Amino acid sequence: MDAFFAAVEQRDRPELKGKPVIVGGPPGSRSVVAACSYEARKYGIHSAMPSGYAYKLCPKAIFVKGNFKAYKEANGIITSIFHEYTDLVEPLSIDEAYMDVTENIPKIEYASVIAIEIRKKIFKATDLTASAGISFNKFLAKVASDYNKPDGQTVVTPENAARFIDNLKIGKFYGVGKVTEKKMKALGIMTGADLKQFSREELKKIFGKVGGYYYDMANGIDDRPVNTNRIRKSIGKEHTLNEDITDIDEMHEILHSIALKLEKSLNGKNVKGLTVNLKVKFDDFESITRSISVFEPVSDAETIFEHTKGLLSKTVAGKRKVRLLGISISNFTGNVEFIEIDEQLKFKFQY
Amino acid sequence: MNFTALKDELRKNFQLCSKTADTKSLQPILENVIIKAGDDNNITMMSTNTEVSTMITMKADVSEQGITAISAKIGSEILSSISWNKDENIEFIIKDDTLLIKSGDSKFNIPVINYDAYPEIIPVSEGSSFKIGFANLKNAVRCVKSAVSKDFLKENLKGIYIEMEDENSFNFVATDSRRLSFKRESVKSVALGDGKKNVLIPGTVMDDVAGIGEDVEEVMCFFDNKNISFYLNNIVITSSLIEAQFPNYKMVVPEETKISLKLDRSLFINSLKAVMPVARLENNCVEIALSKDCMIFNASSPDAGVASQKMHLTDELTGEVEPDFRIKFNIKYLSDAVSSIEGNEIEFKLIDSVSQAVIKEIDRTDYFSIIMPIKLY
Repeated sequence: MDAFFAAVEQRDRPELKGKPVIVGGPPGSRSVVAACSYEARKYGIHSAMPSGYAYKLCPKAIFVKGNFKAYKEANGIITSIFHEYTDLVEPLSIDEAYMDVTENIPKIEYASVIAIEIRKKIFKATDLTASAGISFNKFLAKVASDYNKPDGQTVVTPENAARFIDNLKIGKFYGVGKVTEKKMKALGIMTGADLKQFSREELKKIFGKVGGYYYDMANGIDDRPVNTNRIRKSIGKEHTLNEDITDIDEMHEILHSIALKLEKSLNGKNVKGLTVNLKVKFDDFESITRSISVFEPVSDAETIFEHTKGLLSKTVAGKRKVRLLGISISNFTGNVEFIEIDEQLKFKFQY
Repeated sequence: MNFTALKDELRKNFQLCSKTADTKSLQPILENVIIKAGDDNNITMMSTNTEVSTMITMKADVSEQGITAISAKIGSEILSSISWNKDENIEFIIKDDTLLIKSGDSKFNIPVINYDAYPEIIPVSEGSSFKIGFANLKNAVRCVKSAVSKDFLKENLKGIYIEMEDENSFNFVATDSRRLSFKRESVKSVALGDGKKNVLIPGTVMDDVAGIGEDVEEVMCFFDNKNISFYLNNIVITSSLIEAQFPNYKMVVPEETKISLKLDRSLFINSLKAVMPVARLENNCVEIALSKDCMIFNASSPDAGVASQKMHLTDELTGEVEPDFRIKFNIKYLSDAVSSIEGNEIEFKLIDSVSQAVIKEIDRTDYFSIIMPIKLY
């Protein structure tokens, strides 16, 4: 989806149309930009930038709090449109998904035709525009989807893949974050063509195991399947108490220690989430969950703890005995692709 | 070529035959169904996608022998579009370069397609063979098909493995490496040639064969090292065998389990149904907690909250369960496994929260399903 959160705001509040809109906390706060409209992007504003800095770049930008319910609703409509074509849909985030249309329900021969249809349907149903990337593997499809934004699509065929990759800036590669980008540039790797000069072994030596990935990407090799079960939707930690408790302070202490563990786990996977979930199990085994969606992706223990404390106060914990507490983070943003995949265990076959 | 046949029968057979025509092939000729009118007042329809082929023979009044190709897609559409009355006839006539299809007041003139490049279809008709009741075959496929891998990269897991170690009954096995289903079914006769005792047949083919049926009573199968042919009355389906090696599935069948639960099948199914809507939102995960006499199914999702369902066991569980024991599964795997069971008494056997679990009917060994759990974190 193109500038998803901001586009939904502009759609629902016509007075924002054509104006630089920033979804996120106000400039005075310590917030960051969760999303911004294309008008705001012209000023150099992008998501994850501190709100204060965004304000400096464009003082007339309009800051809005955002409406998660509306985004979720749009996401639901879009997802059901995807499923009219295939059940092989792998959501990457609230506004992005991979689809494998090799076999598709309406039996359309060309993926680009499907993309046109889907984009039309999305526009008709939600009044929002979407962009698509069409290719023979996930990496190329993802990069291609960014190529002709907004409201466009790009096809990368096996014939033009090599040229497409050669011209690709290194920061656009799968798994190349800011740090790696710097390292690559220091090595003189500016584009895909530069990366291609390195052998798999050389890249592995420089970057470790992930070097193998970079090699594959540079050579257009990516055989990760589109898998609906792949993406872990939440990461959580929980703690069963030795004995049931009613003391709120004690619960806070436990939640704090859970938040610390969770922070470690989130950082380890390099992800942040937009939703904090609290789980409370009472002494009669009844469990409840409470959640809050926020506009700055969280991963640090203190913020998570503060949110959970608020959530806990909305429950009857304390009035009733509690036997388990848990926190999880969902609605991931950022490096979603590196989330640990497939927690489903498998047989260890021998042949 | 000139023949007249019962339209309803021809339409049904043509549509069945169209299934193996290859609409996505690089060889456009494979998009067609071949119809051959023979001298014995029979017509034969054939199609192949080079992996699987169908050959169907039916009665017709042949006044001139001949052969033609007709697009599977166009043919099916024509045959289903003409208003049809069960006992009406349909006529196929080739005149010059046109195929004329006539039925009642409808008439279609289709340019003749050159069929010279169409590959020859040769069903296996000698060598190793076995005969199985159609109901048995259908049941075996029904029990194991959900475990067939849908990952097109896993060549050796895309099939149903038929193990012919016993001459009275065969084992049908499928696994996608996360779950495994096993069904033993009796066979009517077996004649194995040069020692080949097992075959691996594409799951989709087995599903198609099992789906044929109405009035089929038994299936005769011939196979060699490369192909297998299923003879069902007037229909012959031939498929390439999967040459990749099926895993040694026996090693994941646990010899001993630590915990055994006896359950009522319908209660179990209802319990799964109760938590299914929430489980579906979170990668189909369902968590099971155990105590001496009951099982609690929990599913939770940040969006939909928590669903919890308690189910009493038919008998106290046997074995030791740690307090707070939990195990997590893909709920679909559990429901697939129990839906293959016919009786109402189920045994659910566990080792621990990271090892395979077995689901089977009590006192029966002809069917079981083995499921790997989802890691708890």
